[in-house]
Amino acid sequence: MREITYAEAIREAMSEEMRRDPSVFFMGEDIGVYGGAFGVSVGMIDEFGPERVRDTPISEAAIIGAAAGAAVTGSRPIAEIQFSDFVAIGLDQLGNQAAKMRYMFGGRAQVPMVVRAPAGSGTGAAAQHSQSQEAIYCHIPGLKVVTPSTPYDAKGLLKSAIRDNNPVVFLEQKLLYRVKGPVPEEEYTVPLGRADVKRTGRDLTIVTWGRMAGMCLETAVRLAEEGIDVEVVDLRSLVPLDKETVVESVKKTGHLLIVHEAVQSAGYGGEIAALVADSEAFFYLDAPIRRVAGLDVPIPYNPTLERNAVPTPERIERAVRDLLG
Amino acid sequence: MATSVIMPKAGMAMERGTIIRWLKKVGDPVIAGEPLLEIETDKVAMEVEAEVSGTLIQVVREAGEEVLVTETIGFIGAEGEAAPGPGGSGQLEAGAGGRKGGVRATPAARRRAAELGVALEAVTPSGRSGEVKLRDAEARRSPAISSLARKIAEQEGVDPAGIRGSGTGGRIVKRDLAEALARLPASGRALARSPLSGPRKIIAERMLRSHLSIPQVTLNARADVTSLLRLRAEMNREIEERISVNDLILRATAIALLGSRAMLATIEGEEIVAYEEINLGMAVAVDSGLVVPVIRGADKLALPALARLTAELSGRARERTLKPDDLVGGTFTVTNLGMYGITSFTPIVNPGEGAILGVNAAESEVRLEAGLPVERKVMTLSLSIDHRVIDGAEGARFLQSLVGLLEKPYRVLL
Amino acid sequence: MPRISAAERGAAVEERAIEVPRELQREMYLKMLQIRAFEEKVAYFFSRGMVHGTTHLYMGEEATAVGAVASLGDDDFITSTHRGHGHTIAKGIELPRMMAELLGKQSGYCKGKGGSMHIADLARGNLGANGVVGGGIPIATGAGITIKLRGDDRVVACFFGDGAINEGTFHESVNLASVWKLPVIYICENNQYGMSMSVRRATNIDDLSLRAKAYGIPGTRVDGNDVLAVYRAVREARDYVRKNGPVLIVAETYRFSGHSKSDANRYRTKEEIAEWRERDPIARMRKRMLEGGSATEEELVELENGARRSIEEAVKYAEESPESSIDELETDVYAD
Repeated sequence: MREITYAEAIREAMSEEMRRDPSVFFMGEDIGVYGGAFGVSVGMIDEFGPERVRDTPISEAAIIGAAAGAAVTGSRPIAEIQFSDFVAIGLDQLGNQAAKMRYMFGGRAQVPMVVRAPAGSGTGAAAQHSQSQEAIYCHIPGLKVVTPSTPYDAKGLLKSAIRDNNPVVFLEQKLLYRVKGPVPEEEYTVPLGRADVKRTGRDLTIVTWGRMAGMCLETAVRLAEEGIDVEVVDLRSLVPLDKETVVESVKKTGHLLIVHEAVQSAGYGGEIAALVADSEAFFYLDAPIRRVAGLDVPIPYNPTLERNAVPTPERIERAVRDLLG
Repeated sequence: MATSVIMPKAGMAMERGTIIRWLKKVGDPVIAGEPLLEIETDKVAMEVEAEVSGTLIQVVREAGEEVLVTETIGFIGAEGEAAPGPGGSGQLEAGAGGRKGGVRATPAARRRAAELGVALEAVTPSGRSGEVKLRDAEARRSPAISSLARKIAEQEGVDPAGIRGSGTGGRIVKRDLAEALARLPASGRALARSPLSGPRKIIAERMLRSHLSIPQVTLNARADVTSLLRLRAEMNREIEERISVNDLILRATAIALLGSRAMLATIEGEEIVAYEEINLGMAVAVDSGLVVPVIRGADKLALPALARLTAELSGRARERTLKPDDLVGGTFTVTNLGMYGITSFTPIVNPGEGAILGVNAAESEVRLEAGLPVERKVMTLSLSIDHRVIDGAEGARFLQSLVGLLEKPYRVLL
Repeated sequence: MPRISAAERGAAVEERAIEVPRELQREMYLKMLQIRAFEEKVAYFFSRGMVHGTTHLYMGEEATAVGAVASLGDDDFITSTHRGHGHTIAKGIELPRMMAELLGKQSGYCKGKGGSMHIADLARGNLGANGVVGGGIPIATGAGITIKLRGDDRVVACFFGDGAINEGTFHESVNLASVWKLPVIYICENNQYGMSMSVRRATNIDDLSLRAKAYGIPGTRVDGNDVLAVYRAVREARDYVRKNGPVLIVAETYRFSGHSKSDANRYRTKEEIAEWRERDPIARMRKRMLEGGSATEEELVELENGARRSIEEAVKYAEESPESSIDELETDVYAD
C-alpha cells in the first residue's frame, strides 16, 4: 500500500469530501495560497477556488460562529483554527452556540461542522501554542471529539467527521503531520466512536489517543521482547467513546494504564478510569488503575523541560512494570 | 436496599460455620423469625432465622461452604430488587471477614477466589502492598476439567487434582478419568468421598490433638453395682422421673470429684488450670457423630433434677436443637458404652479437661458369699487421665472412691 | 440620551417615500399588537410563577422588529437576541406553540427545552434567539456564507443590541462579512441600556452607526419607534446587501420594562421612561393610520380585538398542552 503523511491524508479527506459534496467548504487563517500554517491545505485553493477555500481574517470567534451559522443553514463547513489553543477565543461560539443549538431548539436544528485544530507539544512553541485541551470539548454535550494517531485514521475519521451532522472537534497532532503511514487509494471511512486496538496483548491494557498512541506502541514492542504482552487501545474518538472495547480489553488483561499528553488533573483519562471502575471490568482488575499524563504545568519552552512535561517512553515503561509487579 | 444475611456468631468461641442447607430458595418470600437456613458449627447444628421480612434475593454462599462468622451469605430485599451481586457490600465484607483491616485483595483476586471457592484468608498474598493478586487466588485453582469428567470424578470419588489432563491446554477429559480409574487398585477404590466438615471435622481434630499432645493412661476398676441396679429399679417404681444407670453414675461421679479435685485439672500452655466447677460432659451419640452437652454444677443437682436435665439434653442432642452454649465449659467427661455391651475400653481425654470416665456394661458374675454362689452385677469403670497433670495414684484414689459410692448406693442419694 | 430630531428622521429615509401598502400597514400594526399582548400575558404569567427562569420583554421596541421583518422575504434568515419575542412573532411563528414553549410544554417550539431565550423557528428562517450577548452575530454571518455559496437571492437580518455592539463578535463578524461581501443586514437595536449600562457610558460616540465606517460599509440611523421608517430603511438595505455586502442600521428605541423581570429600574428616571412612552410605537402607528386614512377606527378596533383573541387562543392551547416529556430529557443532544 502507498504511504502518505498525516497532513496529506487530511488534505485528501477534505478534497475528496469537497468534490463529493458541494455544500462542503473550508475556511480558516492562511489556508489559501499559504497552504495553512502546517501546510495541510497546500494546493486546495487551486482546485476549489477562493469561494470554497476561504482565507479569513484573524477572527476565531467569527470563524467558529460563522461555521455554526453556515452549518445550521445547510452548508457543511470545515473551519481550521491555526492552533487548537486559539479555540478558546471562539469557545462561546463552539460550546454555547454550535454545541447547544440542536438541543435548545428541541431537535429542529442540525449543525454539521468540523473544527480542525492542531494540538500538542513538541515544537518548542511553548505555553500558548502547545496544549492538549480535548477534555474541555469532551465536557460539552453536543460536541464530538476526535484525535487520530495515524494517517489512515486521520483520513478516514475526517471524512466521517465532515459527513457527521454534528459539530466535531478534530484535534490533529502537530508532531504527526510529517509522519507517513499506509493509506489506501480507494475510498474508505473510519466511523466515529470506534476505538482501534493497535496491538493485542494479554498482560496489560494501555488506553491512549493522539500522539501518545505511537509512543505506547513502541514501548509495547520493546516490552514484548521481555515477554510482557501489552495491549494498546487507541480510542481515536473521545466522544462518542467506545466503552465496550475498553471494558473488554481490561477484562482480558486485568491491568489498565491510561496514557495521554494532556495535563493529568481533570483530564479525560480520569473519565476512562471511572468508566472502568464503574463497569464489569472492575472485578477483573488485578492492580490499581494508573495514569501517565502531562504534568500539571503549562508547556515550557526549554526542550528538555518540554519533553518531560508530557509522558515519555521511560515513564510509560516504568508504569507498566510497576502495575505488573 | 437489601439486607445482608450473615453467618451468625452463635457462641463465644465460634469462628466459622458450615451451611448445611438453605431452607428458602432465591425468590422465596421470607418472614422475620422464620427459619432461613441450617448451619453447623464445630459444636452443633442449628437453624438461622431471618432477621427481616422480604424476599431472598441472593444466595452468596451455598450449602456445604464453610464461612467465617459475620460474613455475608445472602441478601433479603424487596421482591424483584436486583441482587447486590458479587461486588456488593457482601463481597467486600467477605474479604474483610467483618474485621477491621481484613484481607487486602485486588478486585480480580476477589472475584476469582469467589468463583473457585477459595478463602482469601487462606491465600498467601504476593502483591507489593501485601494484597492478594489474581495469581495467588489461582494458585489454588483446581485443574481445568470437562463437566462430564467432573461428574465421573465425583461419582467415583477421585480427586481430579492428581490426574494429568490430555485435552486442550491440559484440560482433564473423560478419557483421562477412565485411565486414572483403571490404574486404581480395586481395594483402594473409595465408595464415596465427602468433605471433612462440621462436627466430624471437629471430632477428628480434637481426637487427634488429644492423642498427639496428651500422654494418657487408662485405669480400670470394677464396681459391684448389684445394689445400685436394685435401687434404681425401686426408685423408678416410686418416683416420676425416670432415673437411668447413667444418671446414677453421673451423680456418683460428681460426688466423687468433690473429694478428688485433682481430676479437675488441665494444662493450658505453660499453666496448670485447676477448675472450680464440676461441669460434667455427657457424651451422646447422634447421627452425625458425637455431641457432648454439659451439665453445669452437677454436684449441686439432686438426682431427680439431674435426671430431668440429662433427658432433656440427650433429647435435644438427637433433635439437633442444642445451643452452642450447651456444649462448652465442661471440666470432666463421662462416656458410656455400656448399652453396647462393651466391657472395657480406652476413652480419650477431651482437650481442655484432665480426665474422662468410660462406663461399661454391667456383667453378671457368680461370687461366693459365705460359701454360697451368688449372682452379682459387676461393671468395669475405665478412667483415662492426662498423665502430665494427674498422677496414677490420684486417678486410682478417685476410682476407689467412685467404686465405694456405687457399691453403697444410698450415699449417692445423700 | 441620543435624540432623533424630525429633521434627522426625514433625512434618513422618509422622503425617499417607499410606498407601504395599506394592507401591509395593517399587518404590521397587528403584529405589533400581538407582540405587546403576548408580552403582557408573559409578564402576567411570570408574576404568577408560571413562566420560570427569567424573561426579557421587548415592550416599546415593537416597531423595530416588525418594520424590519416586514421588509424581508419569507425565506430570508434572521438571528435574534435574548429579548427575542418581538423578532420571533414578527417572523410569523405560530403563537400557540410559542406560548407553549414559554410555559415549558411538550408542544412548544423546542419541546420546552429552550424557553424564552432559545426559541428558534428554522422553517421560517428564524435561526434562534440567543442567551449570549453578541452570540448570534457570527451565526448570522455564517448564514450569509451559505447564501453566498449557493448563489441564493436571500439575505440575513441580524438583530443585536447596543450592548452587543461592544462585543468582539460584532467586530469580527461585521469585518468578515465586509471583506466577503456577505448579504447581512446588521440591525443594532439601541434601546439605550445594556442591562443597567447606559450606551452613553459604554461607548464614546453618540451615533453608533458611525462604526460602519470602520468596516467600509454603509451605516444608517433610524427611528426605531417608527415602524414605517424601519420598514423603509431595511427594505432599502435588503436590496443593497444582495449586491454589495453588509450594512449596519442602528434603530433608536427604548425598552419600557426593566432589563429582565428582576430589574428595579434604579439606573433611569421615571421621567425618562414617561418621555419615551409618549413615543409608544403602537400608539404612533395607530394615529398615523387614522390620519393617513390607511384604516378606520372600526378596522383598528377589530385588529386590536383580533390580536387579543389570538393571544387568548395561544394561552388556551399552551395551558392545555402537556408538560415536556421526561423521555425527551436525553434526546436531541446529537443528530444522527
